[in-house]
Amino acid sequence: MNCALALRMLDAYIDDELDGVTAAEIVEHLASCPTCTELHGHRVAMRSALREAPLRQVAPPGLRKSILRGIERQEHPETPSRSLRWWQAIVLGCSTAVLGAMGGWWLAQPRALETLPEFAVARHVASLTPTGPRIDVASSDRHVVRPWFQGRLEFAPMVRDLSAQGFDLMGARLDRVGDRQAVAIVYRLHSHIINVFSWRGPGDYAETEREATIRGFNVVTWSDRDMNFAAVSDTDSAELKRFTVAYRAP
Amino acid sequence: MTNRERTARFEEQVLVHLDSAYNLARWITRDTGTARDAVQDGCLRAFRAFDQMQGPNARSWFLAVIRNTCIDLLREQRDRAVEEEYDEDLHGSGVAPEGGGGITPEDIAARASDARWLRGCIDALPREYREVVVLRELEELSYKEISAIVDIPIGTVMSRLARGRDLLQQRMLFAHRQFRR
Repeated sequence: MNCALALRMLDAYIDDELDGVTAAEIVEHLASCPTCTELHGHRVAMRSALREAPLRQVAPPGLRKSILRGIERQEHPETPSRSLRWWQAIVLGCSTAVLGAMGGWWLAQPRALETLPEFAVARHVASLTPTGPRIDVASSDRHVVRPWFQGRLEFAPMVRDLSAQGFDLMGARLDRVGDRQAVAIVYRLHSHIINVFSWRGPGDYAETEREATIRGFNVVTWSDRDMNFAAVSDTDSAELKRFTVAYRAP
Repeated sequence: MTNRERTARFEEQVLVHLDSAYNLARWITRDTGTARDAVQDGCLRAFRAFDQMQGPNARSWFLAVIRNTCIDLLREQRDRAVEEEYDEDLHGSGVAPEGGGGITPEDIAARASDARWLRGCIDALPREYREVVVLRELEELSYKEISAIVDIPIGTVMSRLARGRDLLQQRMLFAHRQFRR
């Protein structure tokens, strides 16, 4: 074997990829050729240098997991990964916080009342205190109650003596229904309180009474020319209706 | 075969060679971030093609997929930036070193502890030589396996390895001389 052939075969010899016969020829040649032996020495030194140095790179931690997640996503594109990525967690956390804050703010707000009867019911409830209904002028005498509002109110409230029908006048107070200034005339039927709210306005209701039940209270509303009325009570609707008829009677 | 079984089989036969895959990708791309991306993409490709896996050697098949993914990724990157040119003046002589210019095998062995220096020498090789050297010296694969991964005849594996080692040796000696200067 000459040097040219030996040099061509040298790497395969080092890599143990030669058949036995050729390998034996290389060994024979190396024994008689210092040049090829020197190159062989370099190759062997280089090999051990490469194998001893920490050159082999291993997969970074987390890569395997990330690959399996990728496969999972590829296999089930419609089902999102159950574990959240960090940015998804942040986005979710932030939106939850914002929604929570909005919800809290919304709950903390006084409930918006849509209609005037609802306002009337709210004022009725607010007027009921443990010591009896809130009253500015307490009197069963309508001739005492009515003049009290002079100079306090832009209209003259309708105060009627309905004791003959069983409705005792307790008094009256200044109130409001929604953003309207109103007066509340307070009657009593046995243990039930009746508030009759009246406020000025261009006919909010029809002239004929309309009955409703709001938050468990019976409400009857009507309008009379430029005045609006809402009678609110926890008494039953028939009694409230009877009251309304008596109150409106000329 | 259910998806769960298929994934389990993939893990057992293919993903056990993840370190080899990453090592090859690192040396082909010469960048850990690109290597990571290539392995991630390559594994998805491999999983899709898993059913068509040829032959009994899952590692060779897997490394071939990873290698192709790396090359595709590098091609994409090259569209954006020109790959560092190989220094032909330094490596282009094609002549085997004669006696190593007074540098003894012991000199090279002494520098072997300096892994960074060695890494630089390998990274300086053109890719076609770099990949066969890495597959042979670091992964310790046979010519037959390398032939399957790189998709070249065994004879070409032999000549590329010989040429790659010549270049690497020159590079090491050159770097050694520079180091001494």
